[in-house]
Amino acid sequence: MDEKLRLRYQLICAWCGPAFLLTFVFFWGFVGHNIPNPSPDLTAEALKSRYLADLGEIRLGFIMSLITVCFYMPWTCVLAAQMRRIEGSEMPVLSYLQLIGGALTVMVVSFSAVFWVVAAFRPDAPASTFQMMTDTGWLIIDLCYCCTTLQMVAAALVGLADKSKVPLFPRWVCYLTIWCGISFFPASLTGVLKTGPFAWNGALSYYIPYFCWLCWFGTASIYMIKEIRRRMTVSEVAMPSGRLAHGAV
Amino acid sequence: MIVILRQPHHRTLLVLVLATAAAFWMRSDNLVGLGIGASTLAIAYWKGRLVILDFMELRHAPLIWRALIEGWLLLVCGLIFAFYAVGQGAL
Amino acid sequence: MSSIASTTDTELGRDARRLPGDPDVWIFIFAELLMFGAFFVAYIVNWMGHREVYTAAQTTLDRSFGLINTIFLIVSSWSVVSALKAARANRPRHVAPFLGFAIALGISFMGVKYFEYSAKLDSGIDLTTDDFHMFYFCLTGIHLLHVIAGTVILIVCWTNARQGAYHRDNIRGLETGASYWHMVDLLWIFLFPLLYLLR
Repeated sequence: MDEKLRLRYQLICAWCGPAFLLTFVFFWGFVGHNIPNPSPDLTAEALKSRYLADLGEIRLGFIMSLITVCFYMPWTCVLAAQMRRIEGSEMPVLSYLQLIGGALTVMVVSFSAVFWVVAAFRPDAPASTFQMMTDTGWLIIDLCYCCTTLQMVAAALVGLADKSKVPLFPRWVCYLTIWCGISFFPASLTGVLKTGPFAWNGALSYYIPYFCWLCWFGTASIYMIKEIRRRMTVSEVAMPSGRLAHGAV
Repeated sequence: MIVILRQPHHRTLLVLVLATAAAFWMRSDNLVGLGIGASTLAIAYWKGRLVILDFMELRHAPLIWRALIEGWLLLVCGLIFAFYAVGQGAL
Repeated sequence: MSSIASTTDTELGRDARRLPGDPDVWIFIFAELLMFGAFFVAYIVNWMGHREVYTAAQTTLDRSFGLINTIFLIVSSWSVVSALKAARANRPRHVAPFLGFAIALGISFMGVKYFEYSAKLDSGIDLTTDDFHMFYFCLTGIHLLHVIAGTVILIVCWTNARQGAYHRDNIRGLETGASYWHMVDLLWIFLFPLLYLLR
């Protein structure tokens, strides 16, 4: 594969970031009726009514989000590759950590949405079924945040160690990453609490952490795209001489 | 004793302990009310400021950092006081 | 050798302003402060809306525990500052004892919290009992995790200090650990009045 094609794939992977962001917010957030999300304090009957009131949209939103969540995968891969360049190709452990962290995040988000699709699958099911499926989905996504935290911490650590003239991430982005990673921890309380700011519909377990995650994701995408474009420019400058063209044996 | 108190961190310790005791004593009779609450918060603000300036040594730090951390202290105290006052029916 | 009455300015020996420790960790500290600030405000907003529940619930709190813990943390912060000053004055042998004292106080704090929590849990009160106790366990619990983390950091510093690692020209690590510990103290300075005193 020649350099130009390689760079083009990297750029596409990086643009999957904004694609994930937009489609996730649209399908998972709006169409799926997760803004605001259902309260854990709702009775089973009230929750079932909530599903039945917008059944089509909820199904569409989460089924689509299960497809579009996969934009997160190529993004994770290109970030891992960019990190590996900084870490050095000998034992790039943080790059690997980011890679698997990103992959597991896709699984966590996917599995949780599957449960909500299951809930909506048989509208005649008893209300308790709706409740159990909804609970399972929310607890998966809210209790399994640590894969994402480690993905972010790994990226921040490599970003801070980057000594190149134009680093992949400016220092403030690395700090933002750490802050956003910290913001997830209160979500563990969603496993116990059904009301208040630490419940899965509360400010401290839902709105703030998810917002922080998406902010980090968007910001990191911008800098990843910039870095690839820089390398594309350098590559183009090198190309015209012919002797430096890659692919030539 | 006087020699010891010339060191800022020794002074700060003494003040902090006394302030803590004062706040505790103020509440020991189960006194309630906006005035008591405000005094308690004021003591907390003052203690926080001493920790920030003398223990964290932000008195001698670049002004941006001092502004950020002291700003945080002021904002949080202000917000707590505002909501406390609303809760007491004063605002 | 500097005299006992030296001020911070003389010890740091410069006119320029300096942030003690690693600036990256200060960003982290600021982020933690913001997160806890959000917690404090969430608490008082909730208090505002449910005052009767809170006032009744707060009577279960023993203020003496809160007072003791506040004193523990304040004195431990002072001890950490003393350790730092000893290092800056090139007295590396004096650093470890002060750090050890701070660590002991940190562990004492954890001990008091253990008794407090046990007493509550034994009488059937936990974080699902009511809104106040939810905040009480969550906020002090999250803070306790920070006390534990801070104590671990101090233990690492203490281990280094015992080998005489900290002196005027090698102080950044100790300053960084100290800054984190002071943050833990600062947060409790809010938690104590918020949970134990404000009615």
